[in-house]
Formats: sequence, structure tokens, C-alpha cells
Amino acid sequence: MSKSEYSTEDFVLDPDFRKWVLENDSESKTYWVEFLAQYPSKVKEIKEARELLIHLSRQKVSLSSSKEAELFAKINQAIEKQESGDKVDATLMVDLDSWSTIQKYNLERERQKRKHLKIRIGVLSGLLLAVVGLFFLPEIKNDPLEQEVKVEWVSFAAPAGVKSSISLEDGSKVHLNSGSKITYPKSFVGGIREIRLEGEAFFEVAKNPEMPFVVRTKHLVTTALGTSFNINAYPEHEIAVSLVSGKVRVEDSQNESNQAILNPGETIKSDLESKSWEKGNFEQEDILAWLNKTLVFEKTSVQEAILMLENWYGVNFEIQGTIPINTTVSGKFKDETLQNILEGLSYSARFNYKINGKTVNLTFKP
Amino acid sequence: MTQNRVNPQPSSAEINDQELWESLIKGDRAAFGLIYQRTIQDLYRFGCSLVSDEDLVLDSIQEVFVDLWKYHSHLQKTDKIKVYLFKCLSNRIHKESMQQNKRKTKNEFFIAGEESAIESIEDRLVLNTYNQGMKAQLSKALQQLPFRQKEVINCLFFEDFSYEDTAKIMNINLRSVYTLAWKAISNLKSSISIKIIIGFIILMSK
Repeated sequence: MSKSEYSTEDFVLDPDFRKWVLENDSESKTYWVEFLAQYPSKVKEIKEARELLIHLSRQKVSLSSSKEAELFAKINQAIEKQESGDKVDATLMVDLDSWSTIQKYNLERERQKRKHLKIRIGVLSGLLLAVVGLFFLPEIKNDPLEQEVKVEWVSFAAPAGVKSSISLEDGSKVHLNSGSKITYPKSFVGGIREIRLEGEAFFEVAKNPEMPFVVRTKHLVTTALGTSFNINAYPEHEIAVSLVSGKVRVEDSQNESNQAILNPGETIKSDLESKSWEKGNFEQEDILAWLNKTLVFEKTSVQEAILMLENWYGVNFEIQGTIPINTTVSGKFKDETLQNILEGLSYSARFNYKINGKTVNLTFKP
Repeated sequence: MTQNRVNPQPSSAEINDQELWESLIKGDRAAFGLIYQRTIQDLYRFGCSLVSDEDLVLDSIQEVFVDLWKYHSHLQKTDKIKVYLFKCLSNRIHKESMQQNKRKTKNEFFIAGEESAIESIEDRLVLNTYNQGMKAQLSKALQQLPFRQKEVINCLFFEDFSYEDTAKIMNINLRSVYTLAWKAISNLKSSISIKIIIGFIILMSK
């Protein structure tokens, strides 16, 4: 069909016509101006098509980040359910801040209590049998160290921009900050609950004095019996262990003299590279702010702030100009949009910003 | 591409659709997460543009991703993840909405007369002298189009898919895409001319 026979609808559907109307593309413009001169009778259709195009609208919707994370948790749950048939509990994931989470957690605790009771009865009867067995079979070698148990490790990660929580089989709960990962045995064996962490997490450890809860990060080993604490161990970053309740022991696997027992409110900060080891107090509100969807900058360097934003929102920054080294930023942002935070920081850190989907362009002013 | 990379880890933005999809086929769960992250907002928006039942949209997205993982090892290679997922979602919503046709739809999204809730393809232009009333009218008319007509308009005009990709998403041939879009535009056109006439009558009767 020649364009001279176009109806209004055909004009609307012509990609080149759209380019002219919506993007004012110069090449298209030349073409359509010429076309109009050649077919002046089409002016009515063209006008109508243009009206339609520029007014075409739809409802604007977007999914909130908490709903986004919630849906992803549901998807993972459904997959887990499908893959492991009935055993869902060990990898149960729930969203962070809803009332239902608390309810679920309480239920979980109740269940764990009952389970512990059962385990205790089980252990007792096992011991009884063992004692009886010792009398009858004294020559059997009984070295627990030689019993090699095959441990199957599983991982659970919160990608950048997403926070999630997981309940472990012992009833402990781990809240993962964006861009963090834990690795743990499919089931705890050998009298120890061992977890490996990269990134930041808050642990609520279910009480079990017989089975210490051990969190390994790059060079620090944190041991707890039943307590709650936060560990911040992002790569290329000093590690901070902050205790909220109970008691934990922190050890440096690279340096035996670095050992400390933390009381609530105390924190250990240690960096492998600079071999630093520092005990101090922490502001609970700031350390745990991330659980509450609050991003805190406290005299944070601009470089560091950019890393935190990349992680928090799951975006990438592209930098023009030089990042000021001596400037620091401070501020608390609760459940804010990236744009609002950048707007807030742009004055003190002196930059212009532009957000294009998952990429953010920052131009520092000289 | 960056003058001064801040992120020390290999950045997710560097992985293209094709590589990401191949990792998924091999069973990389992180790739699965990244695909979710990259497409969730688009899928949600697209789903909501087809039906005004948020629960149905969220349930359908969930099923699309659960199936995506279930059948990951059998997937065909693609360099257009969005086209593939849109097609899955469209199928799913189409099927579900047919089944649940009797279920009352919830008009959660439509806030009549609220300009900020409307996304117009003209928003890219700086000029903002156009008639907001006509935009609201057109967005309402779009909402009331038959399912497939709504879908074709959303693909072509709001999601900026080519005719070829739209044909793939809707599982029809190119010719049908054009015919369907023509009908949809024609309906939209008459909706605004009716409005003008009604407006005129109201004016006259005052």
C-alpha cells in the first residue's frame, strides 16, 4: 500500500511516522514534510494520527521493592517445595518487615521447642544405649573423630537490591542484607552449627548450648550459644561484629592473640589487610537500620557511599570526573527512592546525576 | 564503558541476555535471580496493562518463574529474554483470565482523573501543553479494549517492541499483528471522537 492511501490508523502504525511525532527525528521530519507538501489532502488524517499518538496513555503502575522481594521469596519457596517434595522448612524464606513474618517466626519457634524436646529425649535414650553398649562391647573402638560425616552444603543469597530472611533447621533465623550470601550444611552435624557469610547479616540464634553456632567470615570466627548479633563482612571491607543480646566470642583465625568476648552493645571491627582489631560500642539504631529499610551514612566517604547505593538498589554507577577523596556524607534515609537520596547527596558531594534504569551516571563537578 | 568503575565485582550489567540465558539453561540459580531482577518491573507493568487484577498478575508471574526454573534445562537459546517472558506471561494471563472470567475483577489501578497515575508515550516530549482530559479518556478506552487489542497496543506503543517481536509474544503472524493493531487504533479513535461529541452536547445543554 502506498502511503498516499494511508488512513489515520495506518499513520499511527507507521514506525517512521511515530519517530517523527514522538522523537522529532530529523530524517523522518524531512520525509514527512515533503510528504505533506506532495499530498496536502492527507493533512486531516495526519493531524488525527498525531493527536492519537501524543495522547495515547495507560495506567502507570510499579511494584514496590518489598512486594518485589516478597514475590521472589514466594517463587523460591514454590521451587523448593517442588524440588524437595515435602521438606520445605529448612529453606523457608519470608519477607522482612511484615506482621506475618513475626507470626511465622513465632510458630517456627514453638515448633522448634517441641522438636528440641524430642531431640533431648532421643539423645538421652541414645546415651543410655551407648552406656549399656560400653559394658557389653568394651573392645569396640569408639573414636568420634574417625566417624567421617559427609556434609552437604547449601547456599542462600540475597542479590543486590533485595533483602531476605531464612530460617535454618535449628530454628535460628538469618536476615540477609542486599548482595550477601550464607553457606550452611543441609543439616547440622558434629556438635556444631557452622555458617559461612559473605556480606552482611543479622543472626537470631536459637538457644542450644550443646551445639555452638559458629559464623565464619573472611578471617573472623564468631561463636555464639543463643543470642542475636549483626555481622558486616562485605568483600574488600573491614568486618564488624556487633552484639545485640546474649554473648559471643570473636576470634581472628590469622592472629591468635586477637580474641574477645562481646557483651551487648559492643562491637569488634577488624580488617585483614591493615591487621586492625578494635573493640568499641555501637549505635544499635544505626547498625540495625538496614533491617528497617533505612540506609545510614555516618561520615561515609563518597566512594563508600556509592558502593552502598549500588548494593542497596541493585544498580551500577558510571562515574565521570574524579570522586572527591576528602568529602564525607552523612544522613539517614528510610525507605527512600534512589533519586531522592542522590538529590540529597548531590549538593554536599557536588555531582550531577542521571538514572537510566539500572545504570546511574554521576558527573562530579571539578 | 566506564571511566572509573566503582564496583570491584564483575558487574551484572555486563552480562548480556544471551549469556545470562545460557547460564540459566546450565542451572545457575544466580542467573535465575538476576533475570527476575531485570524483568520483574516490566512483567508487572505489562501484566497490569492486560488485566486490572493485581493478584492474578502476581500469581501469573510467580507461575512463569516457577516453570522457568522447572524447565530451565529444556529452554531454547535466546538473546531476547524479555520477549520470551512476555510471551509466557501473556499466555498465562490469557488462560487464567478466561477461566476466572466470572470472578469479579478488581479495579485497583484505575484512579479516574488522576493525572499522575497515567503514563503517556508523549511523556518523552518536553512539551506538556496537551489535553490531559483526552489522555485520561484514551487510557480508559485502552483499558476497555478486548484483551488481544490491549495487548498489541501495549507491546507496540508502550513496550516499544518491533512488529516481529510482538508477533512472537502474541503467537500470531505479522499480518495479524497489523490487522489487530489497526482495529485497536480505530476503536481508540472513535472513543475520542465520541467524547468530543458528548462534550459538545453537554456544553449545548447548559
